[in-house]
Amino acid sequence: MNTTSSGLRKAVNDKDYRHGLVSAQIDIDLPFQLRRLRMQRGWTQPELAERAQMRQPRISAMEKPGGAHFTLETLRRLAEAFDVALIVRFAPFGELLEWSERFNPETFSVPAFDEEFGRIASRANLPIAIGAAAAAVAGGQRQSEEMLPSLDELTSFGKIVSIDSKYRRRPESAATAAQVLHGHDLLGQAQAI
Amino acid sequence: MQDPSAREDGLVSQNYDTVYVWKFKQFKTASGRRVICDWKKRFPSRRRQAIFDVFMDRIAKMNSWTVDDCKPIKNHPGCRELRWTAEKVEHRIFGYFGEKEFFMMVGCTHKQKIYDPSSAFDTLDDRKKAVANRTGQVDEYNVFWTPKSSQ
Repeated sequence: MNTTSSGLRKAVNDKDYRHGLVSAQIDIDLPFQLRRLRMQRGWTQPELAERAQMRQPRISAMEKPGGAHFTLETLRRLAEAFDVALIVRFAPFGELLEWSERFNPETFSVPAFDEEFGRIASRANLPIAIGAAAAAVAGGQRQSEEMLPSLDELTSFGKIVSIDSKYRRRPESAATAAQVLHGHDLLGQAQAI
Repeated sequence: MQDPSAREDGLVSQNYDTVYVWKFKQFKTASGRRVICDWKKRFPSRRRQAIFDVFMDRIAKMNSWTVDDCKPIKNHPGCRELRWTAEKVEHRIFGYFGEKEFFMMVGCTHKQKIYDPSSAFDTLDDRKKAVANRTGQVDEYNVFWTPKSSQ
């Protein structure tokens, strides 16, 4: 246990202090996470306000530590706007302490549903898509572009390990890789993973 | 066995956690008073101390702060205020940046346009000048640091 952790774990022996940590989840962590989620998506405050059916001044207040009062309905609407889940439940203090000790700002980033589940679907389907395309090339058949994995699928898959080293995942190389793949030259080299 | 982290002044110090991006320093008076630790000790509730600790912990781990977290202070060039609200009271720490450090000179509250202490701005100027002239000192401020007397 590091020394910061030991200080925190000592302080929670005081009931008022540990319930202050609970308050801090709402007053400090929620505003920071709200801001992080909005910026992660490249939205302005007015854009988030529109998606959450709120007014921009309210969004601004909510992004300031302790600046606004959150209701469960507000959180639910924000979760829907971001298309993320919201988990509301009581928990043991040990869980809160562990979370706090491990906290880093990346903890606040949450992918939207499409990004989270879309990535999983691509991972599952990509070997099939590549395999099918490779088989079609070997059979001398021209494939329509719709049947080939898209550049987005290839780049989001993140595991183009077997494409020739010239076409590693850099933006210009990815575009070249996609062109070449669509031109059937390297499909035979793309292995299912 | 003596605690190797114990200090002669009776405070239990903590080494700075390596996950922190920012370090905090606080003004130390001629009598050795660490002004932000003292200000935190005088909070009316431990609850408010916890909220303060969490605020400091989170911003210390962020690569960059927004202007909402650390606003420039008008008429005090180079100075900033850390801002958060706890128990419906706006809290401020006045200070200035160093190299991945924030030097904290004075803590205060702000309610209905009244600062408490009312001399906070003058204190900021005096202490900043003292540090620049090396007539005043700074000391480290560690998040979740609990003086022995408060344990």
